[in-house]
Amino acid sequence: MATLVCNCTNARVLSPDALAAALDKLRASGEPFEVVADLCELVAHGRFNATKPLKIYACHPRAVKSLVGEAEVIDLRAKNAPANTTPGAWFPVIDFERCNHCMQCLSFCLFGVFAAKDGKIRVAQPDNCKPNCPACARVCPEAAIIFPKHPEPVIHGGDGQREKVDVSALLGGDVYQTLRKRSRFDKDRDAATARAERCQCIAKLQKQLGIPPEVLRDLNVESLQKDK
Amino acid sequence: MSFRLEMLQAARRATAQLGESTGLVRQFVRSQQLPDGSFRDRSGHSDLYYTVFGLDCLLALDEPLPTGLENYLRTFNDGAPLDFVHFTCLARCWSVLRPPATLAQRLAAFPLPRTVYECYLAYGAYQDLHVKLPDTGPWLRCLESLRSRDGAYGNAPGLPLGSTTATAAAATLLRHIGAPIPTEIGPWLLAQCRPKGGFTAMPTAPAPDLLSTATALHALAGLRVPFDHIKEPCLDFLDSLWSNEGGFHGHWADDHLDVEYTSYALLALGHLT
Amino acid sequence: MKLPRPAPPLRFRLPQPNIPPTLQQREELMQFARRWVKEWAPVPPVPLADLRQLADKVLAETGADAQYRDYVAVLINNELWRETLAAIPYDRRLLLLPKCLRAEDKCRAAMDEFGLLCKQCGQCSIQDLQTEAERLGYAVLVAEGSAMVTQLIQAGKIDAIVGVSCLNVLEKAFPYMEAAAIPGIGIPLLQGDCANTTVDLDWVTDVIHLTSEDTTRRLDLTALREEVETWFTPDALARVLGPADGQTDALAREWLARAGKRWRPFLTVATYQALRDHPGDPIPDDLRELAVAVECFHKASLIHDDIEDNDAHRYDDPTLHEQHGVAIALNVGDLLIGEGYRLIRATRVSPVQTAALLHAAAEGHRRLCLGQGEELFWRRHPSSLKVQQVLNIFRQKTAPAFEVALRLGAIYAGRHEPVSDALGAYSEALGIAYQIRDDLEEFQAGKLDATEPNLLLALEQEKTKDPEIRARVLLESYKQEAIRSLRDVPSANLKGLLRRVVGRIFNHAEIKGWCHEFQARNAASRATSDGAAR
Repeated sequence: MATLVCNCTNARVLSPDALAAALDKLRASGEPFEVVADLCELVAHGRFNATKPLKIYACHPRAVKSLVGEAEVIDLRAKNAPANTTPGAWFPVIDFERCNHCMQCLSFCLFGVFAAKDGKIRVAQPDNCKPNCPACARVCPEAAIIFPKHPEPVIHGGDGQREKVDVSALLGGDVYQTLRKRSRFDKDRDAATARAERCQCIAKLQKQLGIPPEVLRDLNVESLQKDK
Repeated sequence: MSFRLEMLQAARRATAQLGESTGLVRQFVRSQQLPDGSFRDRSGHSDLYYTVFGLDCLLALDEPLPTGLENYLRTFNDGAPLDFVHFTCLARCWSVLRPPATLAQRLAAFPLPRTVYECYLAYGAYQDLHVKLPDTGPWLRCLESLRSRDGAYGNAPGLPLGSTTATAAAATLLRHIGAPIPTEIGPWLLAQCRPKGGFTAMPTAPAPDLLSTATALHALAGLRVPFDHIKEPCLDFLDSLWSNEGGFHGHWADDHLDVEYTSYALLALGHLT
Repeated sequence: MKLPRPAPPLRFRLPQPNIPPTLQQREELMQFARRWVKEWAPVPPVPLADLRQLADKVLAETGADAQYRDYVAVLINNELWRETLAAIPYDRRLLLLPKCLRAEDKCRAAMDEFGLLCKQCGQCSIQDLQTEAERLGYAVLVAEGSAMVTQLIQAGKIDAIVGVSCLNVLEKAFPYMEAAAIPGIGIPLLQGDCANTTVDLDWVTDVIHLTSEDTTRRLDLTALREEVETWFTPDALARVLGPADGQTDALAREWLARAGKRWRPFLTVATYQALRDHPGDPIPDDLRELAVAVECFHKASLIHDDIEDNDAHRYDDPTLHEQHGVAIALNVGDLLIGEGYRLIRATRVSPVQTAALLHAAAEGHRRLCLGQGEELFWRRHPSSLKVQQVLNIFRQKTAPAFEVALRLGAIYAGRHEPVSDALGAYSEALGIAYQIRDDLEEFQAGKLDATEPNLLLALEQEKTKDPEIRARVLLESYKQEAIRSLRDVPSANLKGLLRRVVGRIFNHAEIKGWCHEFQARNAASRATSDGAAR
């Protein structure tokens, strides 16, 4: 049984307290264990060769298991770890329990991170992946791609089932409408902004029709309608 | 199929346009509920008229009805002190539960409707209370007398220009009665849509408003007049009236939010999906 | 006085090594690529390998550094597709922006499967670009990564793409664009390091607005300006004004012919071109007279200004009153004003139009004097001025001259009424921006004069944290305000042309020291070359 602790030195997504407590406990227990600076980096460069069975202290189990295979995983991830501009090794980790080898990620990634062999997808060039870009994870139809260091739970393999997105179906329709719809009925349009928006509409109308502002203000549209 | 159900079917589709903002609308509608089971008017008091629209919103959003609703409605007994409009409101509210039989008698006692709006309300009330329709002849004659000179329907006899809401109501009513609908109505309604989106209350009105937009779209959908080409501009118009408080304003110069206009918005959005 | 909407905070970064370091160099390369494509007219779509070969040819002709090859390849490809894209309606275009333009540390935007959902905080340029494009009808996407971009291209549902991206991504996305034969214009980011990147915003705005309805889009503004310059040689002036009658006349001509940037006459001609039916046609003689008239008014105001300010030098040359005394200088200025009116009166237009032209000139004349007067009265009892007050003085002093120039061109074209308000707002913002730019140049040259209203002094006195940066943001804000004032103008030509003119006036000479890194780099390279020389 090998015990491994990832320090997550680059991306720092682990809770410092939880990490320190775990290390203390391990030292006190007398068990042999190893600390690595960046587990993702080890795996990316093929230097991961710990003996099974494996006990790993790192981040979310699903991420770690997809990274190294079957293991007992203790989750030390911080609740709201933000993105780091220099995350260290950054690449997609495929959860093969979900992946159905549709190869969409292969055709989308412009940087040649993925490759296919015998009809199976794999991450071939992890170093090509642009740091902090999780784009392929968002469009994978099976939500099978994980970026362990990403702040959003749906991407780093944490809780929160990502809705399976059928982007091709969305794009199969009217792309313009799909994109435009995203900016309507915005959750961020507060009362003040909403008012400004309406005033702008009136201003545009006035300009168009040459109506003096007082007239539009006094115009009681309702009085034209209700004939109770 | 009743007026109410027809509009509900459309309004149910609104959530597709609202997406994640639907939650905000739910919150808003619930915020307009009062403890007595009714909905509030613009000054915060229980109001039967606003309760109609509040219930429309709840149903469109598939939300549970207020628990005190039945008790609130019972306070009106058979609707004796209510004027015609409020009586039809009472009937509409009761239609989501089981209306007491006494209301039907009261309905028959009202004089004949004299405006398009009254005809429309009356017909709706008969549907809501599940009462057999009387002879619709007088109603059809009333509508006929309200034709405007430009081929639509107005709020008084012999007007030069029609009004969108009256015309939309007339079109919907005639369709339900099964009476012939003048062919000019569809094109007339479409013509009230401004190029940048939204329908105006009259051909001469400068700015579009939500009520005209919702009723016109509903009428056009019922008439099966194609209006794909105005969907995007109308969605833009609706967006210009949206606020993340979860409601829609009635028009650009209106600073209030209430369930009435929000329910019109849901109806409009449903037709624009 | 209301301040304009603030421009997003400016970011100064040196471009990556394989992109020309200064805006001027990039502009020159673009103009060259444009002329080259016009001459050789290759037909799109052109594969990447061929594009690179064409780029090599262009580089050989311009003598520019060979490492700019990929950049030039993008420029060439843009030119190939430009006209096709211009003909595609806005609502069939997609604008792709990169998320790396964000203010990385301040951005709180969420992402969905398509890309970024801008929170409109105004801290980066994404908001304005997206809003403006959507206003025109574009579908806009702020892409988180290339996955969605490729999907969109392959979906085959987009008619045209305007994409802002780093060279790296543009290159990788290119085969997909080419395979789908989708018209696309790519505007390269100046850095490829994925965070806090910069781009030539004026260029992006220009492409977003590109439309075949703007028939002045191919008007060569450089050539136009050069033509305007030729009207001010002594011979050309003699032809327009007639033979000089005595010493005063001769002196007036001499000062008129003296070096100047000729922005005002240029504006008159540009406005006319934008409003006439056939913008490419030769320029009528009358317009030359109007342009000269505008410059007469301008030069007269400079001569009188110099006297009023007691300046012995202008542009490193002695001023007129320094050379010939105040009396003569005053008189020459008066003559030039008269010449301006005389030239307007001499144009062969209808009496109604002449009256309108004279009215515009007289109005400008009056406002200029009132504006100058404000400053003169202030100078008798100078008090520290607030920023708003300084900007107000700028508005009154500098805007009228621009306004007259614009209005004369519009009136001559017979299309002044519908654009009158817009021209007023435009010249006001332009005038203020122009004066701010002047102040910044003085500040950098260490020539701040406390006896004149100066924006940087006012900013310093108001204890602004970094007055120079703030002044630049104000400059940028007024530039954008000028462009915004054209929004509802019914003429696509005027909108496009005047928008490009803003770019021309302000990008023509980059303010020195704009890029601190650039200076540092220059200093470093000087040190090494000194070292090498030893």
